[in-house]
Amino acid sequence: MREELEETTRGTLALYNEIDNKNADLRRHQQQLEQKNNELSKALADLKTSEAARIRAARTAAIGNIVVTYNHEINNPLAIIFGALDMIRMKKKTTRKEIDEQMERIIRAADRIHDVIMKIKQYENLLPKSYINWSMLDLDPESPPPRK
Amino acid sequence: MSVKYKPVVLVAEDEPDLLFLFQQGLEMIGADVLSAEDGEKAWALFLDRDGKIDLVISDIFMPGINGVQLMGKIKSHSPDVPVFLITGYAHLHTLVEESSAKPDAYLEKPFNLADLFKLIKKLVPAPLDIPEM
Repeated sequence: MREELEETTRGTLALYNEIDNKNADLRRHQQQLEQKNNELSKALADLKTSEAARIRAARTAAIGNIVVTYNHEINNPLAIIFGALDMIRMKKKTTRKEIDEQMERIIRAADRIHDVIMKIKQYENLLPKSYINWSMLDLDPESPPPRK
Repeated sequence: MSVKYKPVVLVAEDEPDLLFLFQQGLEMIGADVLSAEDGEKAWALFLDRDGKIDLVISDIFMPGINGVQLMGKIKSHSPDVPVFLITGYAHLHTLVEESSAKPDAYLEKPFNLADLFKLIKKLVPAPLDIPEM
């Protein structure tokens, strides 16, 4: 009877040990899963951040291109238009031929501005859909005084 | 009879129509104009005259030697020759800050001739026939 009891006790203790070991394994697996979960969350957050940075960089580059185009391709012909008009106004004696020549310059410059605007429109169509909801660029935030 | 001194102005501008208007406008106010369609030609004209030029007006963005580089060369050769920079870009100040030489004046395109002439008058001591606007 005593031997049977000792046998049962040993068996029970062995069972408890096994349960403890299984529990420890489970805790270890749970910790590993939590660690993997954290790593995945961080990777997802990093991906979102880098995607946002990529979109920001693409957006900045697009704005930069538009601004550079605007500055060079519109300000130059505008300078020609204003210069030709000023010459007509300022020159004491202007012949019909000289006025016609200045008008030719003005028309050429106006055509260039028109072409640039058309090209910028095409460029706008090339932008991905996610950019369509952008606010319109305020190219004149501090309205300069009107040209004299 | 004394001959009226005509100040010599060197203009560097790669836009042909604008270069022509500079020439017309400057001749109208009594300057002798040397025109260059790029920085290299402007520098060659400057050396031809051994720096004996009253004013240099230069666009910044030109093929080859740009306006800031041209200004650097001119100021190294003849520090007293005034250089007047013009650009269609809004960030002229940033570009000039990167250069050791500084312009005596600058103007952003588009500009009107009256403003251009006012700045020229400040830089060129010789009398100029600037019309009233």
